[in-house]
Amino acid sequence: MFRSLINAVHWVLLTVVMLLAIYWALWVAPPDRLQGDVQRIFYFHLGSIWPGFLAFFYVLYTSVRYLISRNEKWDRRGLISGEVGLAFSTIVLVTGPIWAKPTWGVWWSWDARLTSMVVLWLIFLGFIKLRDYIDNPSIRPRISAVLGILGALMVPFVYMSTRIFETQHPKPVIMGEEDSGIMDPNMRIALMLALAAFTLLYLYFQRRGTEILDAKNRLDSLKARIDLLEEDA
Amino acid sequence: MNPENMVATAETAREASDRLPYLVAAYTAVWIILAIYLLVLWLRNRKLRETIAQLETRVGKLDGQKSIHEERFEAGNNQ
Repeated sequence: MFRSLINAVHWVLLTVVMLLAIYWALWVAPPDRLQGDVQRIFYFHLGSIWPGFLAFFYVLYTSVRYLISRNEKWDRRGLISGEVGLAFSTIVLVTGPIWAKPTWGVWWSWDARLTSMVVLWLIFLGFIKLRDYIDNPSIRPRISAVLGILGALMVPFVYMSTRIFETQHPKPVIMGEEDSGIMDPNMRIALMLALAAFTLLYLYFQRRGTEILDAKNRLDSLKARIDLLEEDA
Repeated sequence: MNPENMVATAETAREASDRLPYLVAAYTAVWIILAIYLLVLWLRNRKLRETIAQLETRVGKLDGQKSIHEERFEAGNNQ
């Protein structure tokens, strides 16, 4: 009862904030003086990566918790968080080149930011897919946890890469230097709404995904017990 | 308005409309990626329902076998 109420509230909040984010990004925020309307890609491009980074940091937390406790619930939570982080990073890696083409004149540039983002994406793809190739159920989550920690530790490097190296990619807008931020209040609201919408979406995916994996785990152990009962019968 | 400015404005407007497909493509891509992940979750959920149905059938069979054993046991005791 309480869980379905929370689910309903979450859904309503997510829908309202997402609709507001789309409305603000596409209609209310003014077009960029230099780039025009294509700059509106920015709101969902940046809006998706911050919750993506949050997802990767949660993988760090769950991986450490797993290595300490060896409780598989942390492995399952980490797996879902890694998947959502990967989906959000995919959004960044797809929308980035679509935005780059009309503004930089090229789809892709192998600068430090873009390259480190691809490496981060590959690490988390490995984090998710590697477990399919490891048969030993006790080694599988351990290797995943180590890979998850490595991937999450790469996030600060991805963020700092535009400061450490000269890059085609612009400097950070969030926690960036004074002149690198966006000045128009409606642009700021559009960005905040996109960040809130993707954070709520992350929490929704994380909760639903964890519920499904937990249920699968319980069903698997039930299946094993029924196998034994059938053998006895 | 200065004719040079008018040309510049017309060029800016044309450039802006040329770039519009990129905006549409980017937002479409966002929703496609999110829809794919939702589909993954939905498929996992459907698989769980199938597993539950299979387990219910197997438990039903076990229950049936158990009641046959119990009937035989009771019949044996009555004799």
